[in-house]
Amino acid sequence: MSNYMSKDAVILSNIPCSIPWIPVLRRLGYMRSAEPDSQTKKRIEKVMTDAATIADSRGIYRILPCKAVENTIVIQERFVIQSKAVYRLFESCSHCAVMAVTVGPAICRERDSLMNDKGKYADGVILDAVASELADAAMAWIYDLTAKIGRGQGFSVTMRYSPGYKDLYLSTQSMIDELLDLSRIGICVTDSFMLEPEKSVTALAGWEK
Amino acid sequence: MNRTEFSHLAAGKYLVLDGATGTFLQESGMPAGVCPEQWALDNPQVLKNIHTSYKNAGSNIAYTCTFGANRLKLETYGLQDKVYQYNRDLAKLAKDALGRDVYCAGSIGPLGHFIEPMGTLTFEQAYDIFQEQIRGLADGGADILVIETMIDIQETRAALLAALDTCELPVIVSLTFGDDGRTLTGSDPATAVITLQSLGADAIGTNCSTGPDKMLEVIKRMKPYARIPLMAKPNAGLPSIIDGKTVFNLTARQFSKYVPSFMENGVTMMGGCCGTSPDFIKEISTHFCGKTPLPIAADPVQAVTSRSKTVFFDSSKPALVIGERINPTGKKTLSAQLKEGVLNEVKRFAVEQKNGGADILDVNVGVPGIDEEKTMRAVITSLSSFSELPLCIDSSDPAVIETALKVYPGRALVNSISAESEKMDKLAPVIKKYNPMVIFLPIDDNGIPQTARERTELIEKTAVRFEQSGIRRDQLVVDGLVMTVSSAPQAPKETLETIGWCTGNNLLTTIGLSNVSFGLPNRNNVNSAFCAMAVARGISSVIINPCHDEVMNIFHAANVLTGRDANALAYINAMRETAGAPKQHSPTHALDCADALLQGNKEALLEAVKEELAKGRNPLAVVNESLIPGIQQVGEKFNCKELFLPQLMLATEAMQEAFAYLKPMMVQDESNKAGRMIIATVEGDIHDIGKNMVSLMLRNHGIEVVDLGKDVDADTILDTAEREKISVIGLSALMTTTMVAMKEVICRARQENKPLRFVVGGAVVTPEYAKEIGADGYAKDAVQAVDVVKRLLS
Repeated sequence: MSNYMSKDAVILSNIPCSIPWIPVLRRLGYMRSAEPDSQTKKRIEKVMTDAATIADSRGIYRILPCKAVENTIVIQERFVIQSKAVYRLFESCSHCAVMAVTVGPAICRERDSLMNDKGKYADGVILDAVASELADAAMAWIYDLTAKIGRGQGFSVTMRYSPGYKDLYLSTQSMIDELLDLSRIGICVTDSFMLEPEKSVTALAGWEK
Repeated sequence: MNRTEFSHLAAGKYLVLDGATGTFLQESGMPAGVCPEQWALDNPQVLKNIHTSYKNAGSNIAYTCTFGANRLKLETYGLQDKVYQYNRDLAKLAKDALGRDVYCAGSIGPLGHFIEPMGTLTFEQAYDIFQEQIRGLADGGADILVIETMIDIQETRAALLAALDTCELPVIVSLTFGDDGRTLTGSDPATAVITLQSLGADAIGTNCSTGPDKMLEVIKRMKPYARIPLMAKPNAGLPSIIDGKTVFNLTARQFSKYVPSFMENGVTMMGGCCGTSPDFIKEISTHFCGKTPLPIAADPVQAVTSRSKTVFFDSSKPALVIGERINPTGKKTLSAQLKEGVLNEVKRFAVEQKNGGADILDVNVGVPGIDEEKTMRAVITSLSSFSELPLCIDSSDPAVIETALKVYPGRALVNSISAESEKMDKLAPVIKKYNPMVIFLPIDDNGIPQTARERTELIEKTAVRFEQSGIRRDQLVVDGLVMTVSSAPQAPKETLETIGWCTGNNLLTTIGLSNVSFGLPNRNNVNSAFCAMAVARGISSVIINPCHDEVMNIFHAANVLTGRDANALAYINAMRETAGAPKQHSPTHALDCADALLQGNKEALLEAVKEELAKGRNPLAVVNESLIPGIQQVGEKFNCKELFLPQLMLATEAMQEAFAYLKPMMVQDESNKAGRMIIATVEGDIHDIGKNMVSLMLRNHGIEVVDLGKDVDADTILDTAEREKISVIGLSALMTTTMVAMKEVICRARQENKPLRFVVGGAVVTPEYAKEIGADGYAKDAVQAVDVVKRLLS
């Protein structure tokens, strides 16, 4: 199997992900068997089409050596993450995939314009939900890609884990930025460790043999 | 060996390939982290031993140790200037070791980077990098080239084209498929076979990533379409770590049990990948010994592919729909965007046509004054990752078609070639090289033949000329040449006869449907009728706007009535949407404000408001007694999960329009207001969609909201409250890290003894947290926020 552990990060654009219908409905409050009426369904579908045309999905990943020691993960022998949750997941891992995706700034600009300028609040909230799901789908795609690479090299791959969950603090975003140079796909980490554009996601996944 | 000799060789005997090289090198002392190619050259005897071991085990073809000997991989060791030398020398070394009886296959592996639009490499850069490696292998004496362990169809195409353009050596192409039966970038085995054999691969197959059991499934999916020999190189089962070493779970004997199944499924070349050794190769050789492969049985494949999908022309199935909308003729926005290099409209048409039922998307970017070649390249590159549908490259310029065929990661349909001498001379070599399906317009230097008989004579004559130019009959999709019935009343009849003749002579067909109705009223009637007639004559595909329901409904019905839609499945599926749509009746009576709000119907709400005013009610009474109770009902239904967020927001839109209408009529004094408040997303947090929804709902209830936006610090919030004399403040936060800023604002207010009341909310905020930080209220959503704020204001 090809060795994709290149020294530099791999940058991807035009990530071919589709927007999952059910999770969008969940974000809009349609739980269990609740379905939108046909007019609302058409409205959601139209916004999904709009979202697909304005999304600029980009991603970046890097496969790096890591070591898990006593509730700590050390990536590349110098980047340290303190997290019991990630330690439990990465306990036997020798490598990890460090990943980030964004669907670009235009989609949030359009949402803000719908909400603040055009008075199209329904389209605005739908677009917000769709954009969130697009970012998640892009991350799922890039995770799947790296997982296939890992499995192809005989690794088992853990689930992915994002900063902000349990005890993996949001400040990890800065470390991920240092590892990947997120500006290369247009992401900026704010002083409060938020990602801009807003619909961006980072994650880690462990590889073990 | 040339390609014809290879074809004869592979047809006449089963060929044993070799086994793993990397594992062997490591066992022979190659340390971790070194460049394998350099180490092999520094230790030639080790590599010679590997090659000799496989030769002795029965290999007919053995691979060079050049898997990673491309510029990008060698660059990681600072050896980028050694590409040609390493490939040449390692091929020579293999040739010396293998002698005359075993063929030397020059191994070419992936680059480790993706090609655009997914990656940063251009197609041409990848092509050049592969070409550099291939030159070294060819000059070193390789008999065959093997492009192996490929994970991306576009990268594989670049390597294959580079090989075919650089030398006469036969090329084996081998891809790696994951557990989901697809390559890393989503190609399935059938799509890979159809795409790569049409481009000129001499043999195709799969290696690595899986053991023989799962690989057999991939081979089974390749076999029906493979008109070239099939190869397989599975791993020795699944890997595990024992005493720090990677160990595969199959022995040579266990591995051997799968070989007959591979042979039954058409594999004529087999070896092993990771974990295999000469013992495994011996077992394969034993099975192959004395047996002759059966002739390849697959029919010519009449199909187009995208990166991840194959669409077959199949006369027993519904005719294919080629979506015509990505064409700037008569489309101002699309034309303007194409000129600016913006592709939003292109993407929109792609999505809409797919949703409408298109099987293939026609792409025409012919805007006057545009750089058509550059634009076509950009559109094809973008669409090939954006949409899974195969593309039809539509241009009159052969250079544009060639560029598009080069960068398109599948087997395209070309629109079009004709029998006009100049066009044929320029386009035929391009069609021969890339081997797409191609729409053939039966037009020659004398113009358009008027009758079906003249057309069919021209089709027969030109098909023979095409064969001589390397374009096969099974690649052709004959255009029935639809003329406008209003100016040529007999023309549709001639077109239908041409289609019928082609169907009877096993030629695929298409028509540009909408031309027929030009100049007539209610064109869809004419288009629908003609479409049904064409389907009845056996048309293979129609170029139409799939977003026209009327035409599409008749098209689906025609497929049912001609027996091409078994059990009417496609028809039922297409009608499901239509059947489920509500009947659009005009209301028999006007809606009142509450009903209009529940429906989120702006127009009806304005009518209801006007009606109330006409009855003599004053505007304030309309707001307080009709609109606000109406929006309260909406809120209640939202709480009961009878209405959902989009409907809540539609009601809000309607409410805001009604307010805007009434506002100029209302006396502007404080008694009209339900109160004032400040709202803000706290410092450090950039999320404000939830806060905006709360703000809107509060305004719906007549509350004046001073919205300070997002990422607002405590000073700004508290200073504004003092300046504006506002006592109720709403704070929002989405993240656990930013919700602590709420506490800061509330603590500051308490420390400074400000008479302020706070309501907090946001995705991660809980009632417990609200209590803990001293908030006066908590709201889980926009509807609840209204109740809490009203309580705090009272």
